[in-house]
Amino acid sequence: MGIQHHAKAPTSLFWPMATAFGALWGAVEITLGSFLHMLKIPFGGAILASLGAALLIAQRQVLPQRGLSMVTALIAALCKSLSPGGVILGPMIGITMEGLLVELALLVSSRFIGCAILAGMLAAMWTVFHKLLSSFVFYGMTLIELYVAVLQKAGQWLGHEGAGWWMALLFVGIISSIGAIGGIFGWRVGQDAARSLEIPP
Amino acid sequence: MRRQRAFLGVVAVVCLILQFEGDLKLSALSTMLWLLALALTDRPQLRRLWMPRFWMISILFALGSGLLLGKPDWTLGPITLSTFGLKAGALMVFRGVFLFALMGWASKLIVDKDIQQAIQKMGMAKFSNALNTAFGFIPSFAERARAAPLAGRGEGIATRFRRIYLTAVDLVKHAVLLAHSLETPTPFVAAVVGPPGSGKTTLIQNVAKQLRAEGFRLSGIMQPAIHEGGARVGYQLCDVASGEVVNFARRAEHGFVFANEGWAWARSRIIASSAAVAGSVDAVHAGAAHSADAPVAHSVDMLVNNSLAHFVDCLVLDELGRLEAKGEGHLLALTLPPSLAALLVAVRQDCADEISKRIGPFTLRVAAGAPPDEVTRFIEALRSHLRDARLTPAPPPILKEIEK
Repeated sequence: MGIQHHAKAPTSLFWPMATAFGALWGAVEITLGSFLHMLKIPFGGAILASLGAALLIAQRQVLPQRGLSMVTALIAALCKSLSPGGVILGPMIGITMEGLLVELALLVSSRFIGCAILAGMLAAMWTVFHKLLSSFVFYGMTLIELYVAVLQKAGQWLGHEGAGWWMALLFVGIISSIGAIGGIFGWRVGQDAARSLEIPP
Repeated sequence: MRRQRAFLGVVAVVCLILQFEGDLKLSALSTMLWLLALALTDRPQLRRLWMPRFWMISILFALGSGLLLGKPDWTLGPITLSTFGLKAGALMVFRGVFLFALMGWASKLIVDKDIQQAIQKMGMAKFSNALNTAFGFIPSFAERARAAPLAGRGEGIATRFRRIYLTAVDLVKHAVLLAHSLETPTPFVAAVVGPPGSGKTTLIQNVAKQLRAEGFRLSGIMQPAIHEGGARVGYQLCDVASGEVVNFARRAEHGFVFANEGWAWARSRIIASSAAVAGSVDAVHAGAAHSADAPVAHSVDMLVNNSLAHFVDCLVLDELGRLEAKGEGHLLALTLPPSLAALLVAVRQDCADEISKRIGPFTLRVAAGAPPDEVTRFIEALRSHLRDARLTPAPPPILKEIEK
């Protein structure tokens, strides 16, 4: 426990909310992120992205202001720079992009569950896109050709031409589902938190 | 440092141009050039490239492309590979190594303080302030976030999920309340600063005496020294409101030994004083609940029953030092209600910066042992502020949850 500041009724909570949630997301990325990375849990990136999206969605249930998710993500991304380890630029770009996608999905309505699900799915899907994009940047078009060749070969081994593509689709489906669950989770957590803080709907 | 950064920046641009020519030789040359530049200027970055997993994956990619891309035209034992695929794979590896090393270097740049200065220069002061505050919050959030995956361990799946869910709600609520607390205006802090033995307590006692003589109500604690034969042999604690005095510390062989009862006594007085500022008996109990000390809770009960729900203008805290600089000591019990007109503190000089980060920037500051006219100006400014504060209406009610 430290000094307790008795808060008064706020005038504008935009920046304080972005600060507090940015720090929270940053802390989750540093602690839980390292934990998932260390355990090499499958779909760890998607789980982390959907948690981040859940946090942003919960935040928007409490304060439905446009632009909040984006600013929060920028703060969280810079907080990630405290993370131990060599390369942090990639995760920082990832966090920023996830924030941007959640912001876009919640543009229509912050408190509509459909938008929350879409936000979660987009954030989780970004991890796949991010992987492909960074692979492209790192290794060039050759790697994408290699991925396609692997999918085709997998189809040949399984005795069905399109089997490889179906597997890829299944993979994307799992990632989207993780994101959707994160979206629903964030929406419910945010609604409950807002209710217990007696914030009007 | 800046020259080194500029040099590496130029080399990075040249290497990037060479890298994206798409030629294997140029790509290899560019990678070697970058690694050489790092070896000359920033060896720790070069050491970070020792990542077996990354190298394994790169070699697998290269072999994979030799196997799967292009027409097989080269036999290696039982395997037939394509030279086109192998060349493409080698290009991939060179580019990967170069970009990986480049990203490591760029990541290090981002951690630099310069980025925050750049944000300030761009006129994004709010963002920069928010970022600084967020950095301060991370340790407490990290503690809470670490507990989240362990919530409900060893229980049934439904109970476990329920506990994780409640932990998540709690985390979100905590963040919201923290955001609300950031909106609180910083208190008016009048600080007497000086090294140990410079006369801080004497000066603060004089200031308190003058203010009290003019009808201002003061509360809090002072920590006068006990002298024997000209030497400082201990400390007492004095309740500013009631004048009650207790012994706090005695000199021992290796410094002062502080009594635990003294800490508890001081905390109970600080909690009660803060609550007296808020004018709320509930807040006194809330303050007591923050303390794990049973004697503190007991003393607070006694104080509430006895009197303290009266108006206080100024809270006094003496001898804020190394413990308080870490957020410990007397600060563990301090609450800063919005209705607090001023906080009068005596602060050790070497801890002043850290303490001002915790209680708010010093609005007024005077050095212990300063010339009399400076001290007079300090007292006059504090007096004038307290007079103005009495004319200001009370702030609006706070959120119910924060009260709880």
